[in-house]
Amino acid sequence: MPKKYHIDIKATPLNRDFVSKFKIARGENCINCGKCTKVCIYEAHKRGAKDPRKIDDPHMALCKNCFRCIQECPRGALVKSLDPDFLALGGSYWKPDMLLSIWKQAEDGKVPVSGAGYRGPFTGPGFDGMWTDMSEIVRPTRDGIHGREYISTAVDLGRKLNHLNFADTGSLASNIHQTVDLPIPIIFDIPACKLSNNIMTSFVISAVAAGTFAIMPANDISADIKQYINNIIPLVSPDKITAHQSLISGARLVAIEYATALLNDFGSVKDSIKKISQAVTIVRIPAMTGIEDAVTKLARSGAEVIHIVADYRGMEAPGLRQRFLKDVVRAVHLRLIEERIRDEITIIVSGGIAMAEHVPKAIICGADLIAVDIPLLVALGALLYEQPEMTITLPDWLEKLPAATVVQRIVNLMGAWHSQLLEVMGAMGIREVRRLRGETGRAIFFDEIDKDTFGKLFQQRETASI
Amino acid sequence: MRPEEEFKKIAGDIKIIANAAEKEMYSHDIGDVPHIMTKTFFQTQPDFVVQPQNVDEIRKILAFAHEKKISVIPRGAASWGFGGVIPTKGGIVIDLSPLRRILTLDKKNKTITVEAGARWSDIDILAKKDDLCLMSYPSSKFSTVAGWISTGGYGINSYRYGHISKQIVSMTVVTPLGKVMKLTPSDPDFSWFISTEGTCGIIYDVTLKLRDLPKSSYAHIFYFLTDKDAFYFIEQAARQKTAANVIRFVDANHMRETNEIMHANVFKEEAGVLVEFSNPGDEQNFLDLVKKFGNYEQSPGYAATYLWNERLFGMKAKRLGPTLLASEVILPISASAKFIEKAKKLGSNYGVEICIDSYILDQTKALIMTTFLCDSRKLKYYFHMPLVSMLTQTAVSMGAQPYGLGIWNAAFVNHLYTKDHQSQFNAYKATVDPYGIMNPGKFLRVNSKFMNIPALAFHPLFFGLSMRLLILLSPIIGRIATLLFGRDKKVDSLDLELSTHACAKCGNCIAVCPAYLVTRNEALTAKGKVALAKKLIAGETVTPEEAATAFMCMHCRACEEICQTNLDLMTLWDALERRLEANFGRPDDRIKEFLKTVDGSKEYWDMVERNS
Ligand SMILES: Cc1cc2nc3c(=O)[nH]c(=O)nc-3n(C[C@H](O)[C@H](O)[C@H](O)COP(=O)(O)OP(=O)(O)OC[C@H]3O[C@@H](n4cnc5c(N)ncnc54)[C@H](O)[C@@H]3O)c2cc1C
Ligand code: SF4
Ligand code: SF4
Ligand code: SF4
Ligand code: SF4
Repeated sequence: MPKKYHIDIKATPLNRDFVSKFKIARGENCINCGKCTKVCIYEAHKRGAKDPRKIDDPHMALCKNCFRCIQECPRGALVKSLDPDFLALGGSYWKPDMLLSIWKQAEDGKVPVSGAGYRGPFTGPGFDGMWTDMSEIVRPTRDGIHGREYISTAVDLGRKLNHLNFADTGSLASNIHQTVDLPIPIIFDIPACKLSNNIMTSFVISAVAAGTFAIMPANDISADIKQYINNIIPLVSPDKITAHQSLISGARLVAIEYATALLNDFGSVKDSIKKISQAVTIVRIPAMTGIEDAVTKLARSGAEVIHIVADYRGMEAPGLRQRFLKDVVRAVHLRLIEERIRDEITIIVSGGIAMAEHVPKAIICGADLIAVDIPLLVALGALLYEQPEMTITLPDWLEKLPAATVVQRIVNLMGAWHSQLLEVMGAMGIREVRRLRGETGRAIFFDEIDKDTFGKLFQQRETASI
Repeated sequence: MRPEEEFKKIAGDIKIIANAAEKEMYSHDIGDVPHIMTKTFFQTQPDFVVQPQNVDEIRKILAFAHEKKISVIPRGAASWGFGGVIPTKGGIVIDLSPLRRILTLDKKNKTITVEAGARWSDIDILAKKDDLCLMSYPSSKFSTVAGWISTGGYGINSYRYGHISKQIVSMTVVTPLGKVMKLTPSDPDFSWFISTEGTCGIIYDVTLKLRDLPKSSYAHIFYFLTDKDAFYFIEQAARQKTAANVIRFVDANHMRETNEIMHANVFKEEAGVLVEFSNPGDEQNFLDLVKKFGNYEQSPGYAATYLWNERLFGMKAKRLGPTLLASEVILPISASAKFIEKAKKLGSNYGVEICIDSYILDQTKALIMTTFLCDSRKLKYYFHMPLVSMLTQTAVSMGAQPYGLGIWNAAFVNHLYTKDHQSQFNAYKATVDPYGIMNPGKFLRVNSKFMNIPALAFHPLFFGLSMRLLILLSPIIGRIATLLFGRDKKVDSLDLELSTHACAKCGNCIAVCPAYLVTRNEALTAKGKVALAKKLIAGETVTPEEAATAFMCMHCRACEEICQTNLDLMTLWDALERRLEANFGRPDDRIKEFLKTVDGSKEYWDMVERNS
């Protein structure tokens, strides 16, 4: 048994206004009785610093939305409303709730409990269109989190053989390929917006702390970041391999930007890498029409790991039709199975991974692991807007945060996602995340079931729950 | 040794108030009586004030006063304006306003036992939680239970449920001789504690009957072209002993004033009769009944509901004054219209507008409140004040009883009690209060300084004569005064200074003030702070202590919400605090200490919960 993955979670609340879902406003009819200051254990309500006879406006950054103050106020003077800033956040895919949930997970590393975090709809677009089979939910699933029941979330990257070919002499005929083990099926993708060198450094250190990797364009890797090369995946274009020789030589994983030429020429690219290092090579390819063919071709020409990159909402590049990540992955996975080469290749997917539950869902669809980008920044207070165009803004206080805090928040997020993965796997009765891959039989895909019966039923329940 | 020093030695836990500034508050009631009439004739400043918390403490105080032969003045919310709580020769004011606990509610028997200072409003709020409510209550609903029992005892719902004495199951009284008696209506002593204005002893607790809470309220206003038509209607309706809770007459002027206060034309400016019922059945029966009398115009339902809901704010018109003077009498319904006609003529001689508000008490009697607006800041006020007595004089000469005596009505005693009744009272009083320490100098007899000579003015004989003379001369005196001083204009909007004058000193705000509940200090209530603001504006000296006290406020708005004259109190507090802060600084430490006390007070949190 591999050694138990341990992730060091530490509550790191910033007590800053990220966004709050609700605004609690104190009405004119407040009698300054002070009851709210007593019932709120988070001290969001306080008597005025200047005039203690009057109660200050609620400090929403501290509010945990338990609504106790609202219930207990003898005058009904406190009203909650959805914060307009909150509503403006995100968009059709990145629901404001998701962003808030990510922020909260970064604060304390805890799996969101219902009522406090994101409560997914019964069905909907994207990953909401699938449900995982939690038939074993009756079991105390949180055992997984506390390690009483051993569940492995470890994956490895690199080429595996269908079967080992033994020579007649009994010695191993096939080459044993280099692989890289990861304790969690998550790596950090290229940051979704430009980060300062300081933050970038902390970002990489958090990958080290979480025992995973961060993908970075080779050009962005500064001298002081380079020391963490053991946990960095430099991204280079195929024609720049020699130029980045020194980086590649220290790396355990290297990512190559996709170009059509690669389809026929992967061997030579791999060879030029091999000359420099033993690094496992990842081909980073955008999700697009015909991706199944491209992946098959790459696998056949010796690619070890393929990273399929969808856009920030999980959509493939516009083409004949535009599929969502889950459908892209399923198509690729199925094709590779048909071609009997699924186990020869590791599939990483990214784009639109917004919540912890998207990790097991993407794996069920056929990915080996996922790369995450936007949520890592949201953990640091980044705000994402889909409209009028996708923008990510970093808070101005980010630079002033101590490096340790930045690191811990990302670690917390990963800790929360890891816990949730354990919970889902526990509920499904699966002990190894490797076995989860492609287990589509353990999920319900709403777009495939009889829409007239279930569809309506779920639709109704969805509206009823709002 | 001064009496308060002596008393302090035996006082134990009894709270004593002896500093001059605070004592000042205990030297008057709601009446706007110029100092010349009070301070000159009477020693209105008490020696000291006490706030007992139980029967034993009351006994102790009375025993002390009896032994020292010092006067004792019981005081509730001080909302009665006839001088009942004003000391006439110093003495000890027993402030019963903080003695306000609601002791037990017996749901099965529908009774409630409360301390003397309990507020009618608090009782109703509490009873409502058990689907019960008061039978009748004064329109000064924020006044004390014992205060109303000791005075008029007629008010809202009296038409249906009768005088307050009919709703008392029992009450505990303490006499100056130290006797504690639990009296029921069948006890011979009982009646000597009803409407005797605190002259026989102290009421400590009272058990009252409650009734089932009606689901809703059904109010109607009928309009009449003349007061005479209205009273003719009332006479017929009242005689039928209907199930109305209330039959109330308001004249056209009252309607007009209500419109003026609202800045809207909600009411027809005609005489109106308001009736109110607890259920649709009673309502229908009444409507069917009046159909037989004739076809009467009715106001829209919302107007009737508004007037009904405003019943607790009878002095709102003070906003237009800023002074409101009143004469209250009980008159046969049959004589009422005629009286109103005379009253209005008398008023017009003095250049004031007479307003009438009347609660019908039973089949034959009406409680008539005759009010008019004036301005106590003006010289003409000295002509307006006697007008009150002239109005009462006019009524009694038509068969009315004065509605209480106190100081200012004491001269009408013979119209309230027969000589026989008076001597029976005196005989009883001699047994319970041999030295006459209970609330002396009023009720049946007024005493004053200067060997009692000024008090002669209040002697029934002399007073009646001079009043009749004044009424006779009123067309001349009144007109001359009006000529000399002009007519008073109604006030349209209140600035700060006017606000302080418009305060009715009714004490509504005291009943709801959490700061008062915890500190028992009237100076920090709205009433107290308005008085302080008045002083500041007048340029009188304010002590640092008075200034600091004004900051002990939760800014809870409770006072503003129920203010009798709808004053903009929160704005006033901000302005007052700004001014005090500029002169004296801000007592930050005391504020902190105060908030701590409030926070730790169970009574405070009970009040917060009760009103939720
Ligand atoms: C806006 C307004 C509306 C009013 N409406 C009505 C009404 O509808 N009907 C009506 O009758 N009156 C009415 N009044 C007059 C007055 O409010 C009542 O007489 C009232 O109930 C007095 O209660 P209080 O607590 O203010 O007594 P106080 O004014 O404090 O005292 C009144 C008298 O009772 C005595 N007293 C007080 N407590 C005790 C006690 N515990 N034991 C013995 N004696 C005691 C005092 O010595 C004094 O003589 C109204 C007044 C205002 C300001
Ligand atoms: S509990 Fe309500 S009324 Fe009391 S201080 Fe808080 S908001 Fe104001
Ligand atoms: S909702 Fe809960 S956490 Fe938020 S302010 Fe109210 S009591 Fe505090
Ligand atoms: S402030 Fe208002 S409620 Fe208080 S005594 Fe004055 S008029 Fe009455
Ligand atoms: S606002 Fe101040 S004065 Fe008014 S009731 Fe509240 S505590 Fe009392």
